[in-house]
Parts: sequence; structure tokens; C-alpha cells
Amino acid sequence: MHTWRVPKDLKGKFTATVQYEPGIEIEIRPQTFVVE
Amino acid sequence: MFIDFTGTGKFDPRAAIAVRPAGACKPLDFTGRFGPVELKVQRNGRRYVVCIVGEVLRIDSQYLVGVSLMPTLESSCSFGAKAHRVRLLDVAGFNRDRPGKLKHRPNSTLMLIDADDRGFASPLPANIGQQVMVDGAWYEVWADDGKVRARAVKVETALLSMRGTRWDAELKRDGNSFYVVGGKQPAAIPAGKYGCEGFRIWTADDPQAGFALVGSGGPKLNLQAGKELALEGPLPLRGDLQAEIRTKGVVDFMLRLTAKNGIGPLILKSRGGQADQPAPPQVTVADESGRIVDRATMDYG
Repeated sequence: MHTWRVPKDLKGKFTATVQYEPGIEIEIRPQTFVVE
Repeated sequence: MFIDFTGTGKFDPRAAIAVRPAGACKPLDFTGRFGPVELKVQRNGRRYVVCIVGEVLRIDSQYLVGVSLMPTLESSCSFGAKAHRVRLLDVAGFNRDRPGKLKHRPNSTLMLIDADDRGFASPLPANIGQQVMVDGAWYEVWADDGKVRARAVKVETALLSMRGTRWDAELKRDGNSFYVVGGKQPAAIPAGKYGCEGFRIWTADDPQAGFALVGSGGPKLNLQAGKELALEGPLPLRGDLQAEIRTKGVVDFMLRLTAKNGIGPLILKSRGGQADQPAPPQVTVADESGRIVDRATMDYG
């Protein structure tokens, strides 16, 4: 888990990606979200 | 490691227990495990076997030792014309008043059947109370007056498999728990509809190598008589990144892992120990222009 405190002047559509290489194959899709 | 079970403070070097290092990560600088080790205990003129397992942790030069005692009952048991040794492990605690009497308590008592008569080198595990297949026939097993007994039961057989993996699962049907282990060979289980309470999947044959994928809950299983239900292998895992706006200006990111066959959520345990968890995921957030606005290491848990 990670909590992101969005700076006050930031708004719009964002894309989060994850890098995770524990040694077995994992498919992780990027996630988009909107901060208003 | 030495443990004094007499309460006299005398540590008998003949009763040393080997501790196996199991790797470590900060803030721990050592973890080790021991057991299962058998102890023979005299009580009221009768002898019982107690299994002991535990863990040693070292943090900031201080040692912490966790010990679990599992009272056992062991006896020979006839399965039709053949007899095998059977060991019952009361993993939830000792029935102090009647130590020879282990009742059917789902999820608390595990039985190990030395079905290949190799001194419990590769015993057949099951919950006490569930039907179990021994030498190709189904039996119910229970304990009575310090003896383990079995009677043949008529059960229709179904098979459950997960290709290419070693796995075990706690299944439930009609209030009864079934502990089932599968590997290269499918697991035989009484036909019926089951819920899944929990499971582990190993990514390598050797449980000390690769990963254990551990989860609670799981798919409903409809196991039909004379048929094999073959679940897909778990890999590659699917990671669902969730971005949840908790309150205005605060976004929580969570990574949820599920197996390819849909069972999950899963947690990863390498070499079976929490201390050996792989390096945690890194999350990166970019705006619409591609500019990175946040980059962080996620926490497990």
C-alpha cells in the first residue's frame, strides 16, 4: 500500500504504474484515475 | 538450541534442537525455525508424544523465541487388512482432562497417516473427521481411549488437480473441513460441492524454494463422482493496482494479486517465511503529459 498526498495545485487525469519483480511472472496493468 | 521442560533450569545437551536459518530482512537480522521435534511425555503412567515447532528471531542483538507445542496421539490403526501408524496432532491445544481423547474439532486436529510405512517420512495428512483414502479405499478415522481407529465408508471419488504445482487447501462441506494436498498426482476427495477456506500454492516442487502463494477464500468447487476437476496453474499472477481516493487530495494505492485461475487474493511468501518477502513494489504516478509526479515504495500489509 502507498498513500499519495496530492499537492494542492495538481488536478486532472493521472496514470499509476507499478514495478514489481519478486522473481515470478506477474502481469500488472497501469491504472488511471482523476483528481478533481 | 536447548529447552528445559523440567522447570529445573537444567539444560540437557542430549536434547538439543537444531535451528535452521531462514534468511532475514530488516529490522530482523536473523530468523530460524526448528521442529517438528518429538518429545515423549509421561503422564499418569502413560506415555504421549508431543510435537514441538518454533521460531527464533534476532532483532537488535536480542533473541525472541516462539514455541508451539502440539500434543499428539500415535497408534497403529487397521485400514482393512493392513495396519499403518497414525499420528494425531492437536494443533489447537491439549485436552487436559482426557489426554487420550482427541475430539473432532475442525481445523484444530490434523492426522498424519504413515500410509507408505516409511516412519512418517511422507505422511498422508488430513483433518480428523474427514474421510480419507488409504490404500485405494475410503475410511473415517477417529480416536478412542488412546487408540486410533478406522472404519471403511462408501464414498464416491472425485479428483482435484492444479497442473504443474504443489498445493494444499482447506475445503469445507456440510460443516466438515477437508484438508487436501495435491501435486503431480491429483488429490482424491469425496465427490460433492465445496467451499474453499484457504489454500497455499507452491511455485516449485520443493517448499523451501520458489514461492508459496497463500490466500484465504477461493472458488466454489463442484467435484463430480468419477471426474477430475483440473484448475489452471496459477502463473502468471495478475496484479490489480487499485487507486482509491480516500478523501480529497489523498489517494491510496493497493496492489491485489490473484492467480491466473482466478483464485485469490494472494500474498507471496518466499521460502515459506514472512522475513523473506521479496522487495516491495515501486509505484510511479504520471500526469497526462507523462511527467512523473510521485514515485514511492509500497508497504506490504
